[in-house]
Amino acid sequence: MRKSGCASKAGFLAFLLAGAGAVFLPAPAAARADAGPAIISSVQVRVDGEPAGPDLVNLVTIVPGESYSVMAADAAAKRLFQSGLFSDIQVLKEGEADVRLTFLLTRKLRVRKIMVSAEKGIAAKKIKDELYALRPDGEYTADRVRRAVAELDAALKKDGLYRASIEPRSLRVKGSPLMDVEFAIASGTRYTVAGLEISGEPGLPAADLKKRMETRPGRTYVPSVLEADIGRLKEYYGGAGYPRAEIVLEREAFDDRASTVALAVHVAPRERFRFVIRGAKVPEDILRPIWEERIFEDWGLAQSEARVLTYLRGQGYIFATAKSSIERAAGEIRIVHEVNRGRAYKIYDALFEGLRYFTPDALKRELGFERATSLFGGLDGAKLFEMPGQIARVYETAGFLSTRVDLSFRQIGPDMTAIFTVDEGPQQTVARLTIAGAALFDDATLKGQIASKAGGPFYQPNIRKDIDRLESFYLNQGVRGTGVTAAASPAGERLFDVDFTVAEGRRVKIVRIVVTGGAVTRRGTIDRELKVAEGDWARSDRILESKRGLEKLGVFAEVKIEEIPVTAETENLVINLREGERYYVGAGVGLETKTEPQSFALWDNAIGPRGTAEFIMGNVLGRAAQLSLVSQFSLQEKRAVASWENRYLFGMPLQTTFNAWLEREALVSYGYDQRGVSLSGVKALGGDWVALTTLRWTSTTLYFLDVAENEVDRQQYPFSVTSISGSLIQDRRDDSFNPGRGTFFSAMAEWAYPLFQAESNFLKLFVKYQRYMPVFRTLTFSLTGRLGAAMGAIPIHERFFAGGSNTFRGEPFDRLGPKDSVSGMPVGGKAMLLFNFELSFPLFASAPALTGAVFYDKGNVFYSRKEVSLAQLEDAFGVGVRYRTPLGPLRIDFGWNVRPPTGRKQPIIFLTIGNVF
Amino acid sequence: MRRRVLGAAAILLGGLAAFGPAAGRSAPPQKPEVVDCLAAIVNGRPITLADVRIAEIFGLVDAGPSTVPEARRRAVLDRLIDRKVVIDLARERTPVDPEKVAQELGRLLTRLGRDEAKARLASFGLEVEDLRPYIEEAILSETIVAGRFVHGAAVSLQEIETYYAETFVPAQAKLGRTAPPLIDVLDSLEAEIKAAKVESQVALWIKNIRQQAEIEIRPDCLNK
Repeated sequence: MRKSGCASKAGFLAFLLAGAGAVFLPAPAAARADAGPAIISSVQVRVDGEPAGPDLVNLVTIVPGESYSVMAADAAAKRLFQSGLFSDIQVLKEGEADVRLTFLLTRKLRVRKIMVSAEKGIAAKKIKDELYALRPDGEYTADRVRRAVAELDAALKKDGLYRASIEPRSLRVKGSPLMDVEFAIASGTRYTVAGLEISGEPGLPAADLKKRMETRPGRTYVPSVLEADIGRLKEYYGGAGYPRAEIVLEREAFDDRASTVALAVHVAPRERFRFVIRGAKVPEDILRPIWEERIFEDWGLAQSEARVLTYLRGQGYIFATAKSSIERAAGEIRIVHEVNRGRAYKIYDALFEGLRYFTPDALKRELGFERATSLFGGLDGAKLFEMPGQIARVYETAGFLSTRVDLSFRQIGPDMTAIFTVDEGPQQTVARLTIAGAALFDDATLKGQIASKAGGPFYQPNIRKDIDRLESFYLNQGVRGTGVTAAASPAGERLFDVDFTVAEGRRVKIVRIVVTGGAVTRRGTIDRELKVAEGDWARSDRILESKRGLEKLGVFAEVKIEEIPVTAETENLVINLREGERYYVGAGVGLETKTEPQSFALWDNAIGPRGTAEFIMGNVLGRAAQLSLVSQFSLQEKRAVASWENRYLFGMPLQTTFNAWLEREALVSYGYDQRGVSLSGVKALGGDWVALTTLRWTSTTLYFLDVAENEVDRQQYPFSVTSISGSLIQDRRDDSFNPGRGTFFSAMAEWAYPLFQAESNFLKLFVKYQRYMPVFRTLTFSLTGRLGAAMGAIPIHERFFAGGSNTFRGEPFDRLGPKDSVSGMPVGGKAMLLFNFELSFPLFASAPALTGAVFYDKGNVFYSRKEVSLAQLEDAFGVGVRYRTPLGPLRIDFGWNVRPPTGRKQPIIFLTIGNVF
Repeated sequence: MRRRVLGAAAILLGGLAAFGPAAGRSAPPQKPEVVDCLAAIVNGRPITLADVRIAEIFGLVDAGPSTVPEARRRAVLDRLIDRKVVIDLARERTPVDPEKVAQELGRLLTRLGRDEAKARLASFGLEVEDLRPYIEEAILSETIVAGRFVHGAAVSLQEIETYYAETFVPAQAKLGRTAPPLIDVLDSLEAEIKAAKVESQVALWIKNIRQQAEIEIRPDCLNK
């Protein structure tokens, strides 16, 4: 026992020694490893020097109690980086057997503002536009700042400032991961052009060339200006028949002492081309680009001829033919096209012959035939000639690889019908289809995901699409790492066996959902948009749907969702949100005329000021709701509206708007004060259809009236209305503000019921249809039809009125329809019928935003439904000019009433922004 | 016996106390050791200090001739960056033959020796399988490079003649040998020149694609 005690003490000392040695001497790694597994006793996480919150701590996938290894710490660090939240990560370790780990994380910084301060004479804004490495809202790193400095230096050189000093200064916005970056640009050298030489054999007079250049001796040298000069000279040479002219800056000799630069521009005109097109007018511009590069002449000639014929076919000369040749004369190459263009035809229809597999309608749908036609203009001749190829491609996807399509034309009256004669040829089909290697899902489920099937068409590219479909299906079921391959083998004449092989990945569960960056937005608001929860399979489609839902809230400038694997079968979902600006303040002032302008002379019109002011607060209470306060004031109207918008109504996904308003407006026959509230819900129904329901309460008092009292249901006293209305809207226009094609339809029914002691008791219906369509390819024809009908006791302010720039342009605002017998002022009506027809056309090829228009309006307002008569419809026509703006066209219209009630011959002028609506 | 052990322990302790860094004072708290950090970020993907150390210790990249630890580590990092940019350029990750990876792993363990390999793996808390991604990446990168330069480089007779006269003959003379006639060594010289040319073409190509890539190197991390 004693001996053993001695031995034990001696052993203890030896242990002490070993321990001391371990403290003072570096032990080899292997020796440390032999000492047994080190265990992690604590994990600390610090972000930007501060202890991290629980959400971020949860991102660290290494936990106390686990064995420590460099590899485990490295894997945890990489997962943290994968979250996209951090720009730097360090892992510190203390202790050997008992390991304390600290993760030092640096949050990714973003740029809030970029400022460029420069000396006078430096176009700071222009220079700032050349910054790509650093952008507002973009990532901030020191490396990006370095690259930004290089970009600024290059931009300054381009602008003529050399050796400029660029000092970047970065300032972190307190308490946020945002940086403001300022670049101070100072000093630098500018050079004056001492001489400009045109070298080479320009072929055209050098003086003439220099005249076209902005860069001249005595001026400051700006490389970007010289670049533009060279571009201009190339165009000039192109126009003079030298499409292959080579113009380059040959020499740039700087004299630092004199701050001058001598420039030499080398010109090599190369071959001169002349385009001779006999028998038809075809713009040379469409041919010149072919000959700009050195090409095989036969190929170029064929291309050139094809362009001539395509152009003519587009003009309706579908039987145009051409004979082309290349002639060489002294110093030039002539591209000659002898054209026999024939007669121009309009083609209104196309017939398909020989179809067995597709019906004509199905084939037209596949070809997008509806979209290829335009009213009056019919089918585009050039596109018709492309269709045989398109038809053959459609057949290819159905397994017909040798389909032949011929195009011919048949004259029916003065017009032509295109006939596509299709020889379908044999079809390749799938004999047998198998899916091997799948264990997670049954055969029928997987086969249901793909388009190919036994007995169906076989086309190799379709198999590739099926592979994508299967891989997507697995991802959408939460399976990651699935690989699908397919092999097709012949199984007889035009028969193929298709065998898919699935190498299934692992089904992954979401163990944790970490949300970062939603400082204002409530977690409940975010969670409501998430279509996945902790413990769910990581279904890709639902993750994507969650991302879209968060984006639709409209409160985040950026939504990122990262999937961070924790183990082979689990992952964390990191949702990184960046909230956008929450406050918006706007104000606008302008002028308005009390009536439609009588002339362009300002002093002939009664002009008053007009203004708007608005304040919008987004993401109110973190619920992704929006509060807006808008006020408008002018001599004619004063209005204050408060709106509350939310994507949910009592938890139901319904876009809801609550409005409350106070307004005073002076109209032609009466003026009113109104206060009201409304609650609207909008729901998308699919197929471009939207349903809108509104509950409304208003109380209206007339404060002046220029019509007989018996025209009004309740004068001087407040008239209250409680109503419910429902609307169905379908918008298929290509652009809501500047449509060129498509339709808009809305139908609204409003029922005002005497509820809550309201006096109202009426029913109103209003239907509107609009269509926009291209005509003769360059014109746009639009028509609007409106029908309004009402029944019951309708106060004057609820009646239909018309007249003005948006309804009937032959009468001033609200002046169409029944009038008061004494004052001659409009009294409104219970029925309305309006049609607007408009044809707009380009005015100048160089200004596509500017168009002219001719219009014809027809319609009237009727006192009651019984009085509606087509014979009583008024007619107006006119001309106008439109300028396209992002808010819709700015319109000036001159309208004449065919039978003006006052015998007026002068047109009425309307100045408006937006389309007729 | 007991006295002898105690005496030896006392001497040893005394010696350690005299020469150890904490002589005469109580041991200060150990400074935390940086076990991992971001050494570089290549097209948004990290290369960590652990990656560099593993590649260095297991000889997974050619670190060059330098014996200075910092320079060696930087060379290792550069090779890892090269691999990543080459793979990124190819965009689509073609699967690497598992057989090839297994062979390469086997070669690596044989080269290191079983015990040494075990010790090195243990020092990082690695299993042999953990080396697989590094080897896969190396094979993938080499396959992409080889695929790109599969046709090698053209070598003209004039180049071979110049190489023979200016490099080969003087080298043989230095070794005290008479250079064989050109015709006898034509093929081997052509292969040598071709290999050198391809190597320089590869280096130039990688330099170019590195310029196109977004690379951020953190030298501070490497020196930890």
